[in-house]
Amino acid sequence: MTSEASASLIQDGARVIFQRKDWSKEATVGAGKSLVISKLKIKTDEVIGLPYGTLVELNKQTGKFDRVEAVEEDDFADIEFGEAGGDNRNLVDTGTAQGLSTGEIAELKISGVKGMELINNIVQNSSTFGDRQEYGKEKYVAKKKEKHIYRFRILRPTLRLACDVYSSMKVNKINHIRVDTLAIMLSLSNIQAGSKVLVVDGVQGLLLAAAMERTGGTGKIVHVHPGPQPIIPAYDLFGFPDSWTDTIHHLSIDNLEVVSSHVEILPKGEESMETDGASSDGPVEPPLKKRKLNALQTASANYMKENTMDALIMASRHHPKSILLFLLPFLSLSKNFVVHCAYREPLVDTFQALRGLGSVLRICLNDTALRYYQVLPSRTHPENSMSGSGGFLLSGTTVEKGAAAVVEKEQESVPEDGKEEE
Amino acid sequence: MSFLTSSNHPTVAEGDTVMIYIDYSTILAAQIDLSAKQSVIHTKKGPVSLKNLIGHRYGTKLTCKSGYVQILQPTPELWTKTLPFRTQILYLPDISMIVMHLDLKPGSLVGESGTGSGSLSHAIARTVAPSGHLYTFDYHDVRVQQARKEVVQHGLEDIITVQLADVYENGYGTLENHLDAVMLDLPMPWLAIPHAKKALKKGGSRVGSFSPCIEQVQRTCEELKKHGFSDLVTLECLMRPLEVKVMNMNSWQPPEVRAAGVDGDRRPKTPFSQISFSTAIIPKEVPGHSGFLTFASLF
Ligand SMILES: C[S@@+](CC[C@H](N)C(=O)[O-])C[C@H]1O[C@@H](n2cnc3c(N)ncnc32)[C@H](O)[C@@H]1O
Repeated sequence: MTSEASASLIQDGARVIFQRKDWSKEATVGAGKSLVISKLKIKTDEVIGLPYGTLVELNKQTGKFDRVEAVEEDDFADIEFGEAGGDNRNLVDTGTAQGLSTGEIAELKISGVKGMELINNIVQNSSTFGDRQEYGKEKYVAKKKEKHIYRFRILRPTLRLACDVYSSMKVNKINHIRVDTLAIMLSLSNIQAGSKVLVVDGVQGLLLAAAMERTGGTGKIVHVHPGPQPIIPAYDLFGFPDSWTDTIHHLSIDNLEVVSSHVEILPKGEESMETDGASSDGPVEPPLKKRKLNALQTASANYMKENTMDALIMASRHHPKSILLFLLPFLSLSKNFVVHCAYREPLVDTFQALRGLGSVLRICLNDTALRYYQVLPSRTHPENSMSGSGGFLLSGTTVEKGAAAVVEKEQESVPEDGKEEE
Repeated sequence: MSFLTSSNHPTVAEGDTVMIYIDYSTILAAQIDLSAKQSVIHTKKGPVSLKNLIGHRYGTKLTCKSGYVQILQPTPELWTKTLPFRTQILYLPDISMIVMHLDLKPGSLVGESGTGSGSLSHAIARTVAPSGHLYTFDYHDVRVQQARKEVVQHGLEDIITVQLADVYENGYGTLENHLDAVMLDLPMPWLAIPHAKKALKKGGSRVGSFSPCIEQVQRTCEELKKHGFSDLVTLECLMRPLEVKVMNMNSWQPPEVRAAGVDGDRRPKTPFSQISFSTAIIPKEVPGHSGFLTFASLF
């Protein structure tokens, strides 16, 4: 088997996404590893060696995944309906409309009738089904489908799928970042292979993962994280190679001040040294504050002190203003920053602070809307519910803070070195 | 020469494409080419001599006759704002969604049709560089010529290949089982779908299509399903700029508040006092529609 072919097969210990139309979940699969879906614990041994993209269905008896053949997911939305506009004047909800009893449905399931087939059975046995109006029918089928189908596609993680995973169950953990807001952040920040990126990530490592995916392990990332240790499940779900992860410098926000020139970093040294470490370093210039750091944090801080960065992206629970103002000087000139916030007021506040700086150009505050569509013959319409907000984005470009106004005045009286023409 | 960060240099040099920021609503792109005849750009801040930009730092302010301009590094986003229009083009929100939904990253191999004005092409190239490649196709000879010229000027010739071809008829040339993603921005995308299928790798590659009208989307989706594409989604993404302002409103004071006076001494003459607040105003007119984006996978 060629390495390319084997790379397209799911390996033991792989990080994968289990994707359903409306819901996705990340998991590590492999021998002895299991995953919990709807309170059911499912063994994942079975999926090792399957090609990525394989469809599996949960078999509730065995607690394992069965491989299923690809049928067009939408088929079953397609089959039962004619055009929109059914007549529901005779629909009376008697509670007896479903011809199959719960017991019978269970029996069908036990007899091994699978997903699609099961739905069709239920649909055929529902006496009121044909009477329901189009909208009602879709909802009806959607409900049935939700209840009965445990079918997933196993996929390699991508940013798009990571957004799906978080938006289907824990969107508050990523501050309501949505696939479109993340996508726009990545464009505006101009992150690319080789970029040195400053990432302030209070969103489970999702921004860190995004920066890594787009630099492909060929750049450098300084990751400013809340808390003493980085907690980055959204980054971990990608299973990036170690050599890529080595391009990250983690720096706790608690230590952020150490990158300022007013702070001197002292090595933490051996445990026993810790107490006398500070006192032994007696007389230094008073404005220098001293901080003890461990080796890794020191390396991160030193990296920031010695380099200028190509991009800054930020999404955090902290109010963005002071952090952004503190970090902007670490960007090179003519580089871009983008800040995400779930609320607009902190960004309005930050916007106003930036406007006065003179070292930032093209300051923009945006919000975005994202709407999904059902596209079916004669039944195309926007989805019945949509995400209310993906948060707000504040972006800008760093420039030199020259006293241009003064130069300009001089310019009028003194014709100068020809920077300007005729 | 400087669209990719890896080849950026901090000061303007011969051969660079520079972005000249005039004011909030005006940015111009210019090519620093000493052999070119036209070497002065006339702006509302006064004339800017391109030759004299050489050696100045990007991000720097340059004084002009009436004010100053600022010189910025080129990016795909600025190029979208400054490029010479040959066709309708794609803009930031749709471009961002396309790059995201096609799962693009360094190393991706991508097909695009049509090239149009190259707005999308630049964003794709930025993301797939340095090891990936964009094969972009258009059947319009002049547009292809122009795009090729820009690709060279922007230092993207290792990343982008522009080809003259009618993709409805001839598809993606010799590319077969080769691409990770194909993007269609064509009047009749459904005619390109069988060709896209041939050019794409099997096992999870992605296709995307942009169409302004729902009837186009309808046909595209039917065709995608017919050719075995799965996981179809159709979406619309809009971005609205918010205007940050300090606003004032008159606040009416109830009589008992007025009677108490300010600091107990002077009674205000009117029942109104001013309250000011910072807010983000939604402009009167915002983008309402650009087009529908449809994406699907090929396994
Ligand atoms: C709307 S433009 C694409 C704009 C582009 N996405 C951008 O952002 O600049 C559509 C282009 O498709 C080209 N086109 C139309 N039909 C084509 C065909 N059958 N084969 C190749 N190109 C075609 C047109 O010449 C035109 O340049």
